[in-house]
Amino acid sequence: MNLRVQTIILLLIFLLFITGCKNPFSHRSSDDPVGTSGTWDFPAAPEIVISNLLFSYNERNINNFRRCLSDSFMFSAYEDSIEAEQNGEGFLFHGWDVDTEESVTRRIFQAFPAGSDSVQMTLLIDLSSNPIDEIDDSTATLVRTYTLTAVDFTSDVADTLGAEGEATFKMSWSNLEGWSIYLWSDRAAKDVDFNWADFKALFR
Amino acid sequence: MTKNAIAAFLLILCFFLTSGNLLSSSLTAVFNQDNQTYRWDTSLLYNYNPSSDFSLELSTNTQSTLIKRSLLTGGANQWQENRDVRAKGFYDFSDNFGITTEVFQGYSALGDRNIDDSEMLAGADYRPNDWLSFQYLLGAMITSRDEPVGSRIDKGAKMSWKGVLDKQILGADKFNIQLGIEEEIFRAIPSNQFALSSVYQKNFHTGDSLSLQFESLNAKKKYYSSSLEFDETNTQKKREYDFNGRIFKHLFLELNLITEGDVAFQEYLYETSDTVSGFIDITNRDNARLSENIVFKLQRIFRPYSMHIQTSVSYRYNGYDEDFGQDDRDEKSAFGEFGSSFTVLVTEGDTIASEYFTAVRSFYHPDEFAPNLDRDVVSQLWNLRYSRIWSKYLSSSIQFSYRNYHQIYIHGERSADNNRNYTYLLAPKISWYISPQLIVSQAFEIQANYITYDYERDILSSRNRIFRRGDNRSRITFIVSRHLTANLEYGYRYEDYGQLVYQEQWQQLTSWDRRTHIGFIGFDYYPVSQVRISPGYSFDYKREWNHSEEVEVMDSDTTYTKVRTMVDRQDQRTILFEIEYKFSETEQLLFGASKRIINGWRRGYIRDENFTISLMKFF
Repeated sequence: MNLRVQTIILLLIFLLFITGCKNPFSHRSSDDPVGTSGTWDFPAAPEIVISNLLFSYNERNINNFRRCLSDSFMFSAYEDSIEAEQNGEGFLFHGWDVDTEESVTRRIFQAFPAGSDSVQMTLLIDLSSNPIDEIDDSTATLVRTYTLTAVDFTSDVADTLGAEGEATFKMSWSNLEGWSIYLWSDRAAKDVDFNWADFKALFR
Repeated sequence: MTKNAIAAFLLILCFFLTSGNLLSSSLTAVFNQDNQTYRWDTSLLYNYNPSSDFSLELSTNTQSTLIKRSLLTGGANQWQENRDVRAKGFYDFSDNFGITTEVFQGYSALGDRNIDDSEMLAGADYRPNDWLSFQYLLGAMITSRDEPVGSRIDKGAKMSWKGVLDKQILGADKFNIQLGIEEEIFRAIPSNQFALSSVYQKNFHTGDSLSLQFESLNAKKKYYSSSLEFDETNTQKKREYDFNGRIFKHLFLELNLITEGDVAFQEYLYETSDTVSGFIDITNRDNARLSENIVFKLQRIFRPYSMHIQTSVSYRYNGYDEDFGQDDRDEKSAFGEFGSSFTVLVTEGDTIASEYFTAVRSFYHPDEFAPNLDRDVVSQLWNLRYSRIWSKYLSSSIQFSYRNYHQIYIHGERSADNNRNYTYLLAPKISWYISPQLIVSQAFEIQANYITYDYERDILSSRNRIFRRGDNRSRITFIVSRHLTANLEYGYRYEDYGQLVYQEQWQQLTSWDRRTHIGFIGFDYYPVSQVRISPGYSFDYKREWNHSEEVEVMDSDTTYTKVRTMVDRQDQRTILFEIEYKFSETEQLLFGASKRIINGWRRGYIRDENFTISLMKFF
């Protein structure tokens, strides 16, 4: 078989394959809005990323949540990691990248849908700045305290989980996307065993 | 713990200063301090090969971090320590038979929790011929876990078996099959795994090539369910398969085809001996995921009129199907991307490069969750760059970028959030080598981000917004002598943000603007060629104003006055100092320190220091 025939056959296979694959030029159309709208602001400052993250969590808006994270995002929880290592389940916090974070958060949103009567989840973040924050020309570190409460009303006695701690968000500036988080590390509050990382790990 | 860390650091330092030449070994020691942590890192890799039939490998890693108590939530200072030492010895009795010994000691601690791991293994290597080998290892392991509520000690045996077939069969340039079995025999937390992998690679005389790879892993392990309950265990069963391949083929019309494909399947199943329910039921983590990734890329080089044009078009598909056995966590996704690029070398000094990508990713969910989560994300990106080398003293470039990110929720419950984020960026730059001693560069960036909501175009009080940014950077490098270089930099940035209103065309209502002055002056001083001393000073002055409107009603007239009020001013000054001492090409000592003072209306007065010292040696 000469090269010309081989080329034509390969191109035909290629075209056949393309027609069966995802079309990169068209998307699904959307219904007219009937629900409430979410809250998102262009991340022109690092503080806006934290408020976007807070709103996206409470509004269960996974797209807005994803836009708070950079492609090189990593999540770290050193206290929980060593406890997991001690129990032999160190894999729980290994390689926690942006895809893991997005799918874990999406599962949380699915498990606690907005407006549900059977389950509820509320996140509170203290948005005020503090002396530990570092904001430079193109990088920033913001430290914020949070409280997360999840309640399941489906059992006879309501099952409640409360997470409390301190999250450190390291961010960088990109011209195309503004500020976004590339490292999120979590630390439990004093005398509190359960933090946000533990809660997220339940959905990994 | 502080003493241990300092002792290890000093030991490494002594070794560094006294050791002789050792082939393919390395040593690194770093100390770093900032306002939240103190950190010591040291690592040593040592290879000793006195003869062809005997070799010894030694590697150690030490990381000690002091995490200071939180200023926000309190608590106490905590030490986190990780130390490990691994030594391996090899002795070959003949070309076919040898023995191996391996000793490992690991320690990991945070506060009052710590884990000690010890491992001692011995085994044999048997190579019946040059394409087949077997390795068998057997040994003992001890793991000790100390926790606030008590301690657990697990003693057991470890066995591993590995077979490798490495032979150029089926016309392959490389053909390899590896089979591995590993078992850890503990009473409470045993584990085992079976791994199989193979590689096939062939390069054809036409320049075409083919590469195929397969990997699989089946594993089962038990682990403690909690640090509070010592008897309860969980079990994880894991299956992972991955098949990937790559084809490079020359086609008709001087086209090159690159095809890459990857199919992967992962499944994780959990069992528990505990009776748990609700949020912490571990069986909720059961999941399986099937994913595919395929790339087709066509390349061709054209050479019309002594130009050199490199072109490519590509298509990428990837998708996954996640199954958690519960509808509320499942998701499917499909992604398609078309890409094209070209680079034209018009003349020796002129280059034009362009790349364009358009992609759609769709997410699908079970019906119950589709209204909130079914969505498409459309992204388009175009980068265009023209660069010109005017002479050996002058060069310039200009870059234009366009990006459209469109998020589309499919169902009405969420579609109010559908929006587009358009970004436009123009960035010219020029570099001028005025003389061998003086280099000047000037860069500008002008950027605009438009965020428009699909269903709010004609609403006056909408969420449509625009962010604009202009940045100017000037740099001067002055080489005073071969001992001294001076660097000078000044930057000015303007940013504003506000609502976008559509009245026949988009108009902006500014809500805030921010102006920043950035400066740096620094010197690199080389008293001798091995030593660099670099002092520096930088500043960052930021001012922010809010825009509002005052309305004044007098009789039948209404007057609108625009008011601009300063809401924040922040001055940041930093002093930097760095010394680098290169003992030789392979040995280096670096010391760096900085002190920063911030004074701002919002942030108040802040002072912090940063300090780093590092040693590196390659043998």
